[in-house]
Amino acid sequence: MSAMNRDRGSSCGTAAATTSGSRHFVWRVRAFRSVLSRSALPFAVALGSSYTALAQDLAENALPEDLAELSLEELLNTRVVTASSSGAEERAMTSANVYVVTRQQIETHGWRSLGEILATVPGLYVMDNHLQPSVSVRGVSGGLNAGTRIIKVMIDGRAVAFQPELSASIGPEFIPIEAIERVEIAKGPLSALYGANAFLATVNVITREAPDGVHAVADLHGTFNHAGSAGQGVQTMVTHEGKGQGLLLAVSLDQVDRSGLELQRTFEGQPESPLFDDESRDDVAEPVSAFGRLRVDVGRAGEVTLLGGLQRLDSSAEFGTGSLLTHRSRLQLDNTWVGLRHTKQFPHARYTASLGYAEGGPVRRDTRLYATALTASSYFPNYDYRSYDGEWSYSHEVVDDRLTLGAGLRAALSKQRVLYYVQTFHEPIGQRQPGDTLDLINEDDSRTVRVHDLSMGVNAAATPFGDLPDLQFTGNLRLDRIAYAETSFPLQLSWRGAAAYRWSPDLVTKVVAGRAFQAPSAVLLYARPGMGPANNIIGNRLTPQGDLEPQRIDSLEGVISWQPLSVLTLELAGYQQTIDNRVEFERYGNNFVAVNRATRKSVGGDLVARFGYSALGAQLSATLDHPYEEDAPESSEAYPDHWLSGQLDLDLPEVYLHLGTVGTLVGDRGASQANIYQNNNRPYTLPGYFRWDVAVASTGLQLIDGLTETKFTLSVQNVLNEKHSEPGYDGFDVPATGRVSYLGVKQLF
Amino acid sequence: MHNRNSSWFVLAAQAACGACALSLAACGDSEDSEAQQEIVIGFMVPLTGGSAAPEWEDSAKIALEDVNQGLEQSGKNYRFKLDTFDAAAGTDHDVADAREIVDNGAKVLLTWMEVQGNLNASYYDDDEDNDLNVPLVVLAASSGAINAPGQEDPKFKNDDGWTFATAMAGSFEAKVAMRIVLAKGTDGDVNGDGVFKMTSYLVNGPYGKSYVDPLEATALELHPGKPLFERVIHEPGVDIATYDWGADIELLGDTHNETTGEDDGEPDVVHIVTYTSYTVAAAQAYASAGYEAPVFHTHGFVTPMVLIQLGDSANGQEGTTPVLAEDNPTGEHFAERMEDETGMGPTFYCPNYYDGVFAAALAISQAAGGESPDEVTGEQVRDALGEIDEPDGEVVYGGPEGFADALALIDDGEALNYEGASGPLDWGENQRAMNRVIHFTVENETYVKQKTYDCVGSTDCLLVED
Repeated sequence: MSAMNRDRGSSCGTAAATTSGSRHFVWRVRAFRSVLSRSALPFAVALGSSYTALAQDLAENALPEDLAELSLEELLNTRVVTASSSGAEERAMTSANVYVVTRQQIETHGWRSLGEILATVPGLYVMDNHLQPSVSVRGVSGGLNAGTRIIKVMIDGRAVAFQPELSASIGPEFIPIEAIERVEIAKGPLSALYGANAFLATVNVITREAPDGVHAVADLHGTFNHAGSAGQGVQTMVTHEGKGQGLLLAVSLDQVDRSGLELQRTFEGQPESPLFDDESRDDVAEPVSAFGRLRVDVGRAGEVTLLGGLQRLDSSAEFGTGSLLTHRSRLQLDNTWVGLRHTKQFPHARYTASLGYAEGGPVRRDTRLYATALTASSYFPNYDYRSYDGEWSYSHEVVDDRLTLGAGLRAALSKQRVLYYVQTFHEPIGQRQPGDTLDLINEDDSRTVRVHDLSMGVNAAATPFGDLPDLQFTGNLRLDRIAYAETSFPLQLSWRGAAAYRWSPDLVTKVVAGRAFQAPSAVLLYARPGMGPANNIIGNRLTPQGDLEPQRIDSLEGVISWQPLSVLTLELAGYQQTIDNRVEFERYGNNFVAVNRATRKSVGGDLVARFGYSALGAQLSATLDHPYEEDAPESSEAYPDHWLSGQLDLDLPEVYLHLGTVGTLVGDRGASQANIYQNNNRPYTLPGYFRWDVAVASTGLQLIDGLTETKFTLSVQNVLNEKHSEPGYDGFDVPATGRVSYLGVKQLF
Repeated sequence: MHNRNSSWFVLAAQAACGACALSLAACGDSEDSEAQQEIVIGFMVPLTGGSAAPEWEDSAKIALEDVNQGLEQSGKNYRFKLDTFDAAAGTDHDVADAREIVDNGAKVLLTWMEVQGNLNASYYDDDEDNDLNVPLVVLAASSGAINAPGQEDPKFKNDDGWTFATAMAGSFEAKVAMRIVLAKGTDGDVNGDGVFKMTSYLVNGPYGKSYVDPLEATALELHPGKPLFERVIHEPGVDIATYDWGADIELLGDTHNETTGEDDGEPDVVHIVTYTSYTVAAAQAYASAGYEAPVFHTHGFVTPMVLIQLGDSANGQEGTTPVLAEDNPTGEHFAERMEDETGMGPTFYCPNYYDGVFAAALAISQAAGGESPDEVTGEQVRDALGEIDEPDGEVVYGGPEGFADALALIDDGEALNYEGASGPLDWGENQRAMNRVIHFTVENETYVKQKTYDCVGSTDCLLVED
């Protein structure tokens, strides 16, 4: 961090900073810089997080005081928390392959949701069905209605998934984008830290710091899509940092119209359908998100942090599975969470305890789903949850600067209503009259299920050799006992071991090995069919397919972080992963059921090269995953066989502008198993595409005396209006979003 | 289809494999093993769409594994493989598609009702060039027209004996069904309105017609009064997800008769006669509609997924089906294999699929007389098919051991009599096997066998006394 050279004094500083005499491009975040500078120690730790990674010493492991400006070297060595079991660590040395998206990147590229951010991460592939985006990782898809099922998504270390689906909504409803400081994406298994579902990757959104005094941000923006539909949104964030306490409140409201998208013919066996002559209409999403955090220093008793959020997914479902182009289907899903965390730092030890509560479910007033082409009745997905969790951890520095040991316990209990549908008749059918409702579940069936997750873990971090202070080892071991109702899964053992060595200030290598697991969701286990005659998920426990078991990954990864030139950094990762009991979806009559399938083995790698010189910054990212098991399909489901992204940034403070552009070349993606079935069991792929985004953002503008920066952003996503489809599951593939323009103005106070 | 060959992974793997191959060539046994011959059985059945049932394909694969294990046990140097083609519905391309399979070496074509007609007709048109010259074994067929005595329709006639069927005509099952229905209430009048009215919801085509025609004919024959009939028809090939089943169901339970245009009261029974996937959708819509008339199903209802999808609304429904696994060693073995492989027991037509593959493999081996069947002709296979059910032959059963036993008999020139999973698989004069029929009800979301009717011993399908 000593190399950082910040221009803190001015609210609208201009020149790019240099580091240690060599000229580096500075990834500068000017917006909010004044409020960030001289801030109190940032939160390296989040409330309610895993007892391992997030039981950190705020003082000793503070993040860079100011993430506003990062040089290439700093980007390589910025401190991250997600993969750590003993506090914040330098990214290159931390015991996972961690990719960081900074505040600056979010600002200058105009990204407006976590989904858009994750779409830029090598090794992750995000598909948007314009309802709930799905994430595939390293060749593996979560399958039907995947969402974020195969990754763990957290805010400040606290998991915020809608638990019946084990999936988080990563659209604008996830968190007000203004509240994000950075996003850490740890690729590879991390159950040893975070338990179930930190399976293929872990995404941790780190929120911004509360600076001294009272500050605010107001943001107004509009969007315009290729078909001429418009939308608008507003965000506001207020922060207050007083003596020994800090407060952050952020709210965002959006309205986005995606109308005008058409289904494309994508496979030979696709039946004729009038849907091909239709297009999405009134395809409006109105996501709402709120986030709040209160931190209080209670003196010798330590520190208490309260944080919570509301995520309201509120979207038409024009391309929802089984609900295509009905022009009247809508899903409104609330997810609310709150957590309270207490930390206490001792000279050589740290103690953390947390309590959490979350609940969520669809909103009856506005949620109605129609089966494709059928309007006589609509369906309400009847599932929700309430959960409680508690966590305790303690770590102790056994040998000064050489060995730290820790242990923790966690318990979580949730009561979930299993998914079944309520049919509401809108036209007379048989003995039913409009307004009649019918619960599509057996009378004697249990409608709720209790889920327990008890775990205990130990961890160690060591620098065992005095002669080799740059050789670090970490190890984690965790046991999870998860039970759904009367059924317990076998005790799940997760572990991780890592060795990292800094050969020189510019070169770090590390090897990480580990095992993680993913427990099936209540929907995959118990869901009842009923939304129309086809394309439902039927709970595995209801079928004779056999009990669905957790899937497991074993992974070995090597990472090289190298700065061969002052203007260039390279990060190269290669991995081998084996997934056992892999969960796939199998056709079951007219519907689908999740089953454990054979092992999937693959090798792959990521490359990230960053270049920075003067006002120019560039990043080139590439990723490949290659399955090598017997009978491996030519193309992985819902994952590109190659992915190449180039990012170019030009900082022109003299004219108050920052230009950013991203071009992404995406290879063929394998179709879904469901659609392959409809294609006479002939595999097919969805052709690759090139997507180009451009953003222009003002920088350093101070238009109104007495106020801080005013910021304008104009971005155009998918400039070429390239049309392609992403894998769908009900005989059609889903059209991707066309060109979308975004214009925003933001005032800092 | 994307070709990954350019990836460095593949190049690396190829290099590694190349090195391995060189090492093996240098160090390994240089004696070449004799190449194993692959004998093709064509498999033109529905794999997708509303008429498909995945467990049928599972059944065929189990049979294929059994025969190939039997070949291995017997030390034979050939194996069978299925050349699969998804034939979801009959089309103008059927013969061309079948030709392609035959040109790939298929010595017999396993197929189903909707396709069989087009293939069969190719033997009886003026164009001799389009003759497939391989036997057709129909695995799933309820049409009584197939191979019917005196049949003149080129789609169904069997003058040259090319067509065999492992499933009996649906008319026998329908007669059993009607006897059961008429035994309820007063000659079938269960709603007490003084008349017996049967509404049939059927798929347009041979399946629906071949079942509903004899249903009505049997009612006319057995009912003392004047039964009323109504038919509501849906087209085959409709998309399950988007078809408006509710609109059709609306026509079923009301007092209006769609066939006669009269208002003649509510039905006493609704017969659903369509493919399984459609049956589920229709039965689901019927249950949602809240009609009270009981539903009677055909064999298409007998699969666990139906019960899971319908839940407790299926309770009280009933129907008939050909036996799911005959009470003999083949049936027991097959049921066990299905349970192991799929987690559920056999469903309707599953044993017919098993027997079709097994019989085809037997016939091809028989035609070869113990030698490699590579050179046997379709005519020889056709003739051999007719010889696997010799009443005086040595009885053989399914499973790997059964096939190995059969091969030993063939090697010895002995006659054999295959007893299948669907029944004794005796072709009879019209080369169509007969099966026993089960009457089932659904209780607590489980199929419960009520009675068995024996259509093998007598075409009157007499009740088998327990």
